[in-house]
Amino acid sequence: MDLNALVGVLEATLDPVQQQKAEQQLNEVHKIIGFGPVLLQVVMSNELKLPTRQAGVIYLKNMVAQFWQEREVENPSDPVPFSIHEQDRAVIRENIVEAIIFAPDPIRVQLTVCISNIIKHDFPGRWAALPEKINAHLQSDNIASWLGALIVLYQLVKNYEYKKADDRNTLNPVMTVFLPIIHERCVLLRPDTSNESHLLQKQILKIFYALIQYHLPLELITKQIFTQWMEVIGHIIDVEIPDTYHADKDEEERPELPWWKCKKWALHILARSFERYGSPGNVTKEYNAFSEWYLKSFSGGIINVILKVLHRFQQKHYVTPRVLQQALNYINQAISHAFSWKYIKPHMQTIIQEVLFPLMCHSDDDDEMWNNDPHEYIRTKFDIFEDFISPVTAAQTVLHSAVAKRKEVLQKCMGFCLQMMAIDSAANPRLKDGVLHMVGAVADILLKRKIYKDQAETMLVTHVYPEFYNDHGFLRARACWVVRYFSEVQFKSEANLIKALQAVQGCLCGDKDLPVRVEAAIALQMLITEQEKAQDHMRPYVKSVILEMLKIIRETENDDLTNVLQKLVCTYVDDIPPIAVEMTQHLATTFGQIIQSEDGEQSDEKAIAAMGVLNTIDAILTVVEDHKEIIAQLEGIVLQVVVITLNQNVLEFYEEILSLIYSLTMGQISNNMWEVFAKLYEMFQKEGFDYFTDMMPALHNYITVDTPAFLSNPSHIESIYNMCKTIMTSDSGEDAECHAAKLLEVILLQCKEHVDSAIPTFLELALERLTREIRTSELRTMCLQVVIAALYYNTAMTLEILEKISLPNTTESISSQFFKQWLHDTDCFLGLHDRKISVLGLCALMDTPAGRPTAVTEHAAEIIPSCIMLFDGLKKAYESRAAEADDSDDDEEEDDGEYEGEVLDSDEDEVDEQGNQYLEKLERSANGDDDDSDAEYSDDGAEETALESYNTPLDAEDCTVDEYQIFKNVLQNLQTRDPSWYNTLIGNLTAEQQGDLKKVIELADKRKAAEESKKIEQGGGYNFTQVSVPSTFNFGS
Amino acid sequence: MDLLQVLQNSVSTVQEELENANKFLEQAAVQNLPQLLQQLSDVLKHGGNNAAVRMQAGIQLKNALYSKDPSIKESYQQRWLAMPEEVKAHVKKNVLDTLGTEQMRPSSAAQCVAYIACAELPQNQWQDLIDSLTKNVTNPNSTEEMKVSTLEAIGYICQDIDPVILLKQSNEILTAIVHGMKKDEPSAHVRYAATEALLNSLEFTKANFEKESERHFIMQVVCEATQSNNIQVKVAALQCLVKIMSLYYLYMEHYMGQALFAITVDSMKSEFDEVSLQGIEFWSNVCDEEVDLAIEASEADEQGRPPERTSRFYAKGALPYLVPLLCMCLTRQEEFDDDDEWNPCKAAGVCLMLLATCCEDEIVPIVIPFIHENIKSPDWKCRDAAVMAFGSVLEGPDPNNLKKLVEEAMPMLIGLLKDPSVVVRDTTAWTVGRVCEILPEAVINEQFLKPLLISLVEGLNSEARVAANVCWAFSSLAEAAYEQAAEQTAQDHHDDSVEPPTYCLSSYFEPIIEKLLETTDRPDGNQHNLRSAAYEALMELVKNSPKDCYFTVQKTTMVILERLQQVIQMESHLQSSSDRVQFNDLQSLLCATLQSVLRKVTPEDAPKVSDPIMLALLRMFEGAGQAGGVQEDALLAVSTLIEVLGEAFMKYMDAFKPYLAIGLKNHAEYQVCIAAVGIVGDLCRALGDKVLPFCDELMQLLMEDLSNNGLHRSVKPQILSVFGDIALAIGPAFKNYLEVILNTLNQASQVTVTDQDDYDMIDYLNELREACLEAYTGIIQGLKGDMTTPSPTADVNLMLPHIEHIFGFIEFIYMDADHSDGCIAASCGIIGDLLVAFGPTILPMEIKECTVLILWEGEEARKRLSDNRRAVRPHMCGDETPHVWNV
Repeated sequence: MDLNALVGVLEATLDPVQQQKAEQQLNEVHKIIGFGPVLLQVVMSNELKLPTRQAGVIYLKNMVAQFWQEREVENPSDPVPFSIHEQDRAVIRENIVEAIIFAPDPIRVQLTVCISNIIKHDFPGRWAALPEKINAHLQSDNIASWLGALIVLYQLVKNYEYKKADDRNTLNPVMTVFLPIIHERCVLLRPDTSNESHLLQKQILKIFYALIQYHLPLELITKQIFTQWMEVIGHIIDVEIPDTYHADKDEEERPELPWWKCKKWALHILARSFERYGSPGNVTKEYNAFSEWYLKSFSGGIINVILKVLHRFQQKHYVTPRVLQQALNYINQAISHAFSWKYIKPHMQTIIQEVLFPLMCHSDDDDEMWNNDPHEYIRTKFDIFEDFISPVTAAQTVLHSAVAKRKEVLQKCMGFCLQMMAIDSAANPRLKDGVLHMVGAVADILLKRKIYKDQAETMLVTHVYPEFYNDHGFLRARACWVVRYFSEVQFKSEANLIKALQAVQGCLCGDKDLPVRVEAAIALQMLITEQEKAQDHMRPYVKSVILEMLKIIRETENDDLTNVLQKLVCTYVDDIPPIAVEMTQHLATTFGQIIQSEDGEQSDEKAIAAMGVLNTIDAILTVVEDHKEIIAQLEGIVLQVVVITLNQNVLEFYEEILSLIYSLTMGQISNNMWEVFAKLYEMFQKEGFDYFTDMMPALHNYITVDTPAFLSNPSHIESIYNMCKTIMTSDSGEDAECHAAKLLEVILLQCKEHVDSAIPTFLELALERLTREIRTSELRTMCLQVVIAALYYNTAMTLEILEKISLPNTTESISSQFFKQWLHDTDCFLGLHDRKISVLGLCALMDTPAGRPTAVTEHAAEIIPSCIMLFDGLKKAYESRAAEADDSDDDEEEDDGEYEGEVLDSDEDEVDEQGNQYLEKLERSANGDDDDSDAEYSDDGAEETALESYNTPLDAEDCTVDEYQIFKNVLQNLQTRDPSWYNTLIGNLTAEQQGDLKKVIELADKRKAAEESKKIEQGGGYNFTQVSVPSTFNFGS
Repeated sequence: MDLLQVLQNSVSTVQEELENANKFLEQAAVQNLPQLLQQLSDVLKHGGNNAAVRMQAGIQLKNALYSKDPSIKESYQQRWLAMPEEVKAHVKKNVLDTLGTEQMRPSSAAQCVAYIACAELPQNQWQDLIDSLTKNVTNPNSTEEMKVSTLEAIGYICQDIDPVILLKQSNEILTAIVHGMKKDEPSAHVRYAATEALLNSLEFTKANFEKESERHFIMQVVCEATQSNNIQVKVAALQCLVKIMSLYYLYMEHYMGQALFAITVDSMKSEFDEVSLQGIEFWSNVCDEEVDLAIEASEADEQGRPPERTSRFYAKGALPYLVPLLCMCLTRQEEFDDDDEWNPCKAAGVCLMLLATCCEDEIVPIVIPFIHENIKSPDWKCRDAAVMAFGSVLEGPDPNNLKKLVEEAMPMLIGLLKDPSVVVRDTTAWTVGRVCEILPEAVINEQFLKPLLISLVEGLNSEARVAANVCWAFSSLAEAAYEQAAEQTAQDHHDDSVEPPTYCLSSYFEPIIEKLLETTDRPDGNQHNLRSAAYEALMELVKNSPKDCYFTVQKTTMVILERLQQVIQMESHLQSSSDRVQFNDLQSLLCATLQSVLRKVTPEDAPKVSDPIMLALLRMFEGAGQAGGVQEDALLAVSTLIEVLGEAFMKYMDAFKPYLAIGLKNHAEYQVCIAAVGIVGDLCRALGDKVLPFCDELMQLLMEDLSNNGLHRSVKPQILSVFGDIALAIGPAFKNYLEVILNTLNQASQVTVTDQDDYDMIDYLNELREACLEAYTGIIQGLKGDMTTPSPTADVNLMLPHIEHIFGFIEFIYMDADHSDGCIAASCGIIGDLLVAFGPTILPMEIKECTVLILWEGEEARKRLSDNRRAVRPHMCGDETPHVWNV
């Protein structure tokens, strides 16, 4: 296709009428050799119309993304998948750098994506010459070509941005060349205050940032080089941007101006370097020396520059939010180190009063949002991502650090706050908001210092409570917010607590401003959590509060509020049943509303809110668990939610839905729920495949909660079998397969004597899986366990079936293989259940009187040693289960050490030991020598296995099947009934094994005695019947 | 003189004859003991001799073989074993031949046989004895006397000898015993002697009890004997059952249902006190056993294993039968029963308490009807039984279940404190005391507190026995009230060291104290321990007093001081030795009370009262002379004074020092010595480096104590740890003693135990090691000096050569499986101290795996370590356990 024809087709794609045909045409020709270069040529043609070129560049971008990489053939017989011919790729590589340099912005953006992809696959292998080319352009006198070259270089560096040190070997030599060049360019450009100059500087800074943000290559960036960069960066930040520069722009537009962006990136580099490499005590080992040097060398200079930025803000000059935020982050970091703190210390109070305080006041932007879009206001204030970029959050953090870590700051700061709090809030509502914001932000510290702790209550009553009734909504919201942060305060007067509760409740239930109601809800949650007495005071109003919460949740769809509701549900367990139906109905409707509207940009948040709603419904179900009649009413409502979700295939809620089904099948299973069982099976068949493990708890309920009903319809067991079969015969991952096998085992143990006909298929499925490759011992033992459970279920029948089954790819008898594997894997059976069923299976085998398979006889000598090993593990498992039960009793203790000791002196550094260890651990695991991970698995396997939480009758607390006693009885009986078999079993035991066996038998006796003793106790003590003294005492007869 | 005559005279009523006879015998023993013993045995054997003379010969012979003092007995046995064979053979033959020939009971020959056997059997001598004894019993031709005296001999042997020695002969012994016990034995004497012998042999017949058939037979014989018409036999057989139950609980199920239950329940109904006592005792034993088994079961459950032995819950099953019977027994008393005599009434009370502990909640509904029916009975015995039954079941059942019941009963109890019967009042006071102790929340409330306090104060005017119980109720009440207030205060302040400002007893505090002071002065104070009970209540009240009672505490201090002064002046007027005993007791009580008030005195007030107190104490030391008890009490009081005064104690040092030295030299009464050592520690903490001038002398005394082998071992760890206190106090000046102390510590740190099962020894060793570690800690911290000097200072470097030993010691402790938590905590402390003193460089060369492990062991240890790192170890002051005196 020649250039003109291609231009024609591309133009046609822009015409709705011809579009479809044109695209089809393109798809027909794009594989032809030479297409790619021609396409690039079109894109580069300045004489063509921009839309045509744009259409071309987008097609090119997609082609590069899809077809640049050569693909391997999966099967030898398949055709080789298409990729762009190397001949074309060479042409494109040859021209793309120039293309980027000379293209207008919209085209350049797309080409940048192309080159990024090309670098990823071709550098350095096929494209070793790229750096040279970039260099050539950078060296040229043509400033215009610099930007393009820098963009390409940026893409090159970005390809390594997140790589570890070892994977940067190709980048470092390249950067050895480029670093001095771009540094020099930057220095030269600096005096030039044109936009072009700033764009270039910004690009250079971005390159540097990408180079160091994840890893600082010390061998590349020597102290000298680093210092040079810090100098130029310092200068960039230091230069004041005149107000005239952005005077004609709106506030929203200003951060986009190149000069401001340039500053922003400069600050990014500073904050990152300090935090990650320059903060002694908080860096990984390799940067220990660097951090010391950094702190000593740069603290003075850089903090000065940063303070100037803050000073500009203080002087009411415009500073962009991100620049301000990064500057504050740097200050925050510097507070922790004695060395840097001394530069900040003299200015701290000014910063607090003149920078942090204004930032923390209600702003014009806030006010506009509050009035025009309260929903957006709420969304922004509760958005945790907002915190990463917000200067207000940064201000809050700096305030908190300074107050918490440095002496005297608190006292002065509180001096200022107290003074400000006394102002008339009617006249200066925003200042009042700011000061309350400050006080709340340091509440946790105030509550730990005796003098402030004692005054907190008075402060709340005098300065905060009145604002509950302020005309300005934002102050009412702030009052709630402050109460939330002081929720741990020790109220000396209960009346004050009651006042707070009443005010908060008033805000929650009656306020005209939605944000106030939201803040009130959260404050209420905290009061109930922290104040024991608050729970009782609120109890009479629970119903109205909950109903109000339901309304607010529906209106805001906010996830924090569903947490509040869950807290209320879990706190007022006894008050929930009467309103459970109403609540659930309301929540179900809200859920419907959320998922109906679920599209558009906020879908993530909505999904979280919807999940919150579902979790709340689940919490209600749990709370009313014992009220059968309420559960029955709720069931219908919850089922609507379930059905909507399943019918609309809203996959993201399947986990929650399955959890609801689990909750609804906990105590009993209604007819409706049996219909849901059918739906589950449908869902599984459709696409629920991936949700099998999430379905497991509900399926387990269906089998175990109402076993007769489960058995009454053969389709139930068939459905489960089919699911398990699908899982175990397709590639669904061994974890899912383990679950499937477990489900089969559960059926065998739960439905003992009722599922004879299912046994052959179960066995076949498990054994078939065993003949294929298995990677984890968990799956192998689970499959073995299905067969073992069958042996326990009915030994004779199972042995018979085993003899009959024949499987492909093997000549040996299946039973022989199975027994060998079982005995060989004895040490893989872990936890209580697995070992117990294994012992019971071995007992069943030993106790088989006739028709003992030859395989069993052949391995007879291994049976008792296997049992001994299992019993040894069981003993530990019982011990560890008891220890766990014991632990959970007394791990409430916590040590909240004396707080006063934590403040740092001016000459002390804060060392983040935990963070440090974490970093080192990351480092180690990155290097593949994380020995911790081994340690976690090298225990004695005594603890529970994950799957044994799916209980069977053998695991019940009052289970009468005692493996020890059964083992002992079997052996004892064999001794008399079949002495020669008995001798075969125990004849070859070593002296040590004999000793172990004896201990097992003794333990069996003790367990029996303990069991009997317990029975006597439960029967009200020993039963004395002979109350008169007998005439003779002949005890022997 | 003729030996026969001498023996005759040795029981003479004429003083002179008696003395002469004894003198003769003593001389003869000194001159030729073998000959004397031979002659005595001849006299004993000769049937023609006067019966009394024969018996005297036997007794004299026995006295040469046996003494109640174990060490004398041991020497007698050695003396016997060393005698010529022919003498021993002669004597042995004679005593054996005498069996069955004496007319008097009990047989003295039996004793002689037994005590010779006790000497010889452990040496594997006289091996045919048991055989011939057995024959004596089983031979159908043996006379009744023969059987009785032989069985008595067997009984004595079994009672006295280490059961292990008879293990291999248990069959023969048992054969003889069972033969004598059998139902068809016509002689009650024989049966009784056999049953007594069985009682003494039960410990070593374990093997026989393990064999079912033998066990059946033994049990049959015992059960039959319980049905004897002879009370003596019956009681002895029941005693056997009681003992069998605790020794062989596990084998009893077969007999319990068929027989033992019926036998014991039946015997509880017996009109003979001694019979019903054994029935009650049997069930008390069952309870003890089953409470142990319940503990064992819950321990096993916590460890996820079955218990070694299991309970059959006999007590629980028997509860409905036993409780009514026991309640009936509670009524079996007379107004003037002797306090010390054990009777079914008292035994039934104890048994009910044990049943309540054992069966918990289940006893409540069974006992309640009896209480309801009898509490208002016109018969005081019934009322008393009802109150007793109520008081007995308070401990055991879930307090939450009891609370309502107790609240309902309170008005009734308060009323019964004024019952016309003193016995009822006594029991009620005791019951109220138990309520205050076990369920204080049931009385500390608006409804009952005031009326109860009024009745209790009135109760102090009652008879001594009642008043003593009232005192006890006050103690419990004060403790509970204070605890409640302290908890509330701790919650309000988030700090559990704040003294509560007030509590529910505050407004009654002063009158109660006054009344108690009055009570201590009651003329009948020495009856029923009333005086000490009243003082103890005073101490508890003072100890558990909130801030607003301080004024009364101050006043009490003065009262106590005055009394002490008065008592001391009384000393010269003492007449009898019983006066002396009372005088000492009173001093002890006052000293102890003084300690408890002093602990409450504020640091500002302490110096105001210290002069007269110290003066009084010095006078006590002066007058104490050899009375160790007084010395100890005075020392403990000084110890408290030092604690309260701190450095201000310095001015008493010159006067006090001589008495401290006397205390440190009191090796015979180690309690005194320990108290004195404790004072050295107190002085170090209080005076700091000002203690230096006294150090040379004190060190010398302490070293003398250490090297004294006669001194009780428990003093030594205290001394070692005091070295640490001294080092800490005088800092670098300690280097003068360093070499010698480190040597001592090195020696002490190498002590080990040989017997791994000797728990006392293991405890002691841990104490010793902990003391060594404390000493090291003190020395390191002391030598290092305070934090102002850059570390390590030159002085602490003196420790460098010893660090290896210290680490070795720590490792050694860690490797010992029996190490105590205290040792681990102290080890961590030292590691911390070494790090602080020498910096981390100390570690690479010394760190060993176990050092790390030690640091890991236990949250507790870690916490202490971090405390140590922060600064100087906060010193545990002498624990405030109240001083126990001998009343």
